[in-house]
Amino acid sequence: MGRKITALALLFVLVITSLSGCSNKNGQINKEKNGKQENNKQEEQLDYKSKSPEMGRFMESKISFPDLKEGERVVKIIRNQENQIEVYTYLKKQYLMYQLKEDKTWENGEAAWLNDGRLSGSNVEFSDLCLGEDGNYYAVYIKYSDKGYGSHIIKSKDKKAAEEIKFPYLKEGQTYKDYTIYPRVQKIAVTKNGDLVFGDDKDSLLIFSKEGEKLAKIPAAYSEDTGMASFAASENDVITVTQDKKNIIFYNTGTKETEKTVPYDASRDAKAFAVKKDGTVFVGDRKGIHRLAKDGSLWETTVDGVLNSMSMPSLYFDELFVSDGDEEQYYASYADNDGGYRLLQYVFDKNVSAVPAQEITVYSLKESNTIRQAASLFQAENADIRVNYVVAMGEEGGTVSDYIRALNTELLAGNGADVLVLDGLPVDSYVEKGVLADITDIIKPLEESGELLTNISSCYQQSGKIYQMPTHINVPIVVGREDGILSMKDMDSILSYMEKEKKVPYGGPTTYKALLQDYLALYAKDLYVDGKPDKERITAFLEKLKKIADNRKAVEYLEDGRSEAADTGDNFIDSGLLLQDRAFLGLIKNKYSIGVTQIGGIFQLSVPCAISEQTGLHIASINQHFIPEGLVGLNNSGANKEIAKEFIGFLFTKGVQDTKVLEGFPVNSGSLDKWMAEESSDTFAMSDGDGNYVDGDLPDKEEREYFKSMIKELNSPIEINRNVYGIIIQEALPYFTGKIDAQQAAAAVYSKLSTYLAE
Amino acid sequence: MANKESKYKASKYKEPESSFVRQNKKLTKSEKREERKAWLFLLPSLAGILVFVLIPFADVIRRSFCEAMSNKFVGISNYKMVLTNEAFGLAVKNTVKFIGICIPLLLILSLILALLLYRQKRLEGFLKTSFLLPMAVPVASIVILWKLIFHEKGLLNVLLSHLGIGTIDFMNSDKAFLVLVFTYLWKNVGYDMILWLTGLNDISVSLYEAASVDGAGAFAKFRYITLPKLVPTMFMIGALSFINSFKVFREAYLIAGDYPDNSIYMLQHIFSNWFVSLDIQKMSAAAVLLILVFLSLILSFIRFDREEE
Repeated sequence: MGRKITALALLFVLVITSLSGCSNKNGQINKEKNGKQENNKQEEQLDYKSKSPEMGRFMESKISFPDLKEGERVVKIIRNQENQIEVYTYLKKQYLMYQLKEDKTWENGEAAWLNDGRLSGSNVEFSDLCLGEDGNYYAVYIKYSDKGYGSHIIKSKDKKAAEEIKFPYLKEGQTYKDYTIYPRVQKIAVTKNGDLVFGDDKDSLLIFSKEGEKLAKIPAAYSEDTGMASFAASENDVITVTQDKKNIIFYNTGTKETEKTVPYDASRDAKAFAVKKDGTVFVGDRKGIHRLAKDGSLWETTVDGVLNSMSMPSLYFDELFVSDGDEEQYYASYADNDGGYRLLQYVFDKNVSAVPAQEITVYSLKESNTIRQAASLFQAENADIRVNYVVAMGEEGGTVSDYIRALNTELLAGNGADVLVLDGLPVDSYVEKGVLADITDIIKPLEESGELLTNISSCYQQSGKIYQMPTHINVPIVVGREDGILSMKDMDSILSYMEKEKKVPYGGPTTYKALLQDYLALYAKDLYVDGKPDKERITAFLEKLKKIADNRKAVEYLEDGRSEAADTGDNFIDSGLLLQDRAFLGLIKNKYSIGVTQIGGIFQLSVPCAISEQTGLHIASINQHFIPEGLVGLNNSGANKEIAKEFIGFLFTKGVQDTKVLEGFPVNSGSLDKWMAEESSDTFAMSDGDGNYVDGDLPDKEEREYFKSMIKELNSPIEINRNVYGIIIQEALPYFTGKIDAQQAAAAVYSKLSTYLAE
Repeated sequence: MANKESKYKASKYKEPESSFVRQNKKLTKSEKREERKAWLFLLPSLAGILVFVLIPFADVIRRSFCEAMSNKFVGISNYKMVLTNEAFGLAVKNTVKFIGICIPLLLILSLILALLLYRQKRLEGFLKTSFLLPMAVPVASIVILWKLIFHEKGLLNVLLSHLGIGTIDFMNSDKAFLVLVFTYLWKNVGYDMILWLTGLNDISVSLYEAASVDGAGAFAKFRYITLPKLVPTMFMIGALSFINSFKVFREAYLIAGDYPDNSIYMLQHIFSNWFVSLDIQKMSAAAVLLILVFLSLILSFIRFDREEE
């Protein structure tokens, strides 16, 4: 009998455990397939939310700066000993300081110590400013001269007068010919005993006594965002992240020992640290504000960074200030991509739900700064909506088709993301199968109000419907003589031009693979007759391209070992790698007839404009092509269609599109106007390995206006089909390397392409 | 000799006859209890098959008559689409060709190896392990090894160019088929050999002794004792090899990607690619067609097996 019961019990367990795999929590998609642990955490939170609608959350609000005069810019935000926020600004060789009062108004403060002339010359660059734990103010600046540059540190006890601290370390220079470079200090912190901590070394911190004696060198994690290690001083401790980005350490400058190591996932860059009087430690990063009680080992996330500005790619943490009262509130100062600052406050609001009640999911294969930025802004405007941004490939890489299959499984089950970023996804198939919803009702009003560039949006009309729309565009441009530019209209014209201009190669050296990718992007339609691949046309295409390759002295691999961008790209075929001549600067010395490059911002336009000015060459778009970036579509069977629609519309608003997220030009006409109107006194210089050099100012108003009108005439998106590209490149390469003839290559391309298209 | 054979056959037929009699016999109480117990133990796997195989397959059948996402009924148009699809035709042709070549080759090769190893007592353990080793090698390792060997600039091509023979792009030419056949044989020959050895060990030694007494030579013993006695094993090995032949897609996919050379473009490739492009309706129709083919093949096997018995 006992055995029977045991058998039955085992049977029961078997059945239960085998069936438990069928469950699907809250109908949410299994995000584990996407390899994002973060999403699982979010799912858990969602479960938690459905069970217990807890109230209370830290809400973000912007603290407006005092009315800054024209040209006045914020250089640093700190907190003084009276726990007041101090904003330091610079205007016309003068430093100003404003203190934030309790009623959120600003009053002028003392900044005389910065205005004794040391920091205000045109050859001086302000680096950092801090209030040391010893109660003194410190500022770091870099002084440039014809003979080199070096860092200087000044110290003030009363904010009225300052004295320079002389350090032997700062005099350890390296001389190249007549130019001497001394250590460049970018950030400074001072402990209670007066020891100074520098973050001048990329992946370590240097600690000096106040007398200038070097005390220690601590290995620390380098931050891509700030270009140095993140650190702070608290009492006599230096707080920083270990190089493996897995721990936070507390190094005591008194005992010269690491007194505490706390595990912490510091994989996200740009961190700020704060310590309360009771010993509680706070870390701010893109994930949020995290809290560690004194002597504790468990981090508590008090502010979820996903729901506010912290996760914005255009911002990074500079300083974090925590109030000392029982009711904690935080101030965070952020630096932005444009060199500006932002001050935000986080206050606990018990009337807001702990987690947003509604959620939309946005899916993309690769990280999109625009989506990340927009999600933060959207959540800031809609406190009750969470934008769950799922990046399938993340930093893990892998095969694109595997990720698409995982997505398709979700779509088939009706659990797909509400908004799809279609870059790299089979868009045509999704349109054909009805996966994507018509977003005309979102796009049309924006077109009609003149907010969207209609020349771009009209490219995405399909039988009176719109299923996709790019958030940004990149513009491939050609620089050359007028007849050279005209020759880009088709491959026959290129060959005619090459025939005419035999002395100068058509373009710079490249690899066969890069050449194939570029010319497929521009002339892939030449391969087809009535939508079907044609063997003769493929042969002709390859033969023409071989002539261009020979003319440009293309090779399989570049001799200098540098790999062409296209060769290093994975099978995602990153559009950013297309149409980028690496020998572009050769145009200066008339080494090549034309140069092709991709422009996604004003700064990138500087080189072509400078070359044009220097050589008299023209700049034009290539057959009015543009490369779409961040194509968004709406899932027809999404659970939160209305919110998703709102989010898609939000992506094209000026608020989102004004921000430079390095993904191309905005498609919002107002934002484009703003970008083009921005004046800058920045200069640039660029050289290449072949001895070509160019420098100059950023494009002037006339050049920017010319480029703006060029953007407004673009009407032909470059569509990348990674399968077609992959097949053609693989089969055609042996022809270029001389292993097979054009007919054989064309037959192989035709065969595989036909199989692909027949599928 | 002939008498001995018929004697053997007669004894073999006894067993099914007796089981047939048992089935018609009224079951005793304890037998009924045993049967209930058997069903009880069968239940979890049955439930698993039902939930994870049969019900999803029923959905596949439904989807084969519907549009991909809208579930609108479209009759047999998906089947028409699949049957006229050139890529599907190519995949079927290649798969049939692969199975047609590989399975007989594998059966013969593994049988030869089994016969060579049979009664080879000295190095038996070592040799068995050696032949089974490819099965234990993870696919990822095989793929890296194959890329090293068969790449255009791989070890084999280095060897070929040293021998004065031109290099061959093994994976991007029709030679890819040979590489795949080799991979399949290399990986499965050891396993099949073990199965053959099991079959060989089941044959009573006395049969061979009796044959020797009658003056039978090695070939006669193989022809009249070994082969007939291995027929049931052959069906089992054939079926397993057939199933394993579909697993070779992993290697093909990882070495050559979604669109390999046309010579190794298999059914799994087109299924995988259809899934990427969300052509679930085509996948479903093709899956139903394949199941019908497999079912008829298996039924033929069973029938053939019964006739043999």
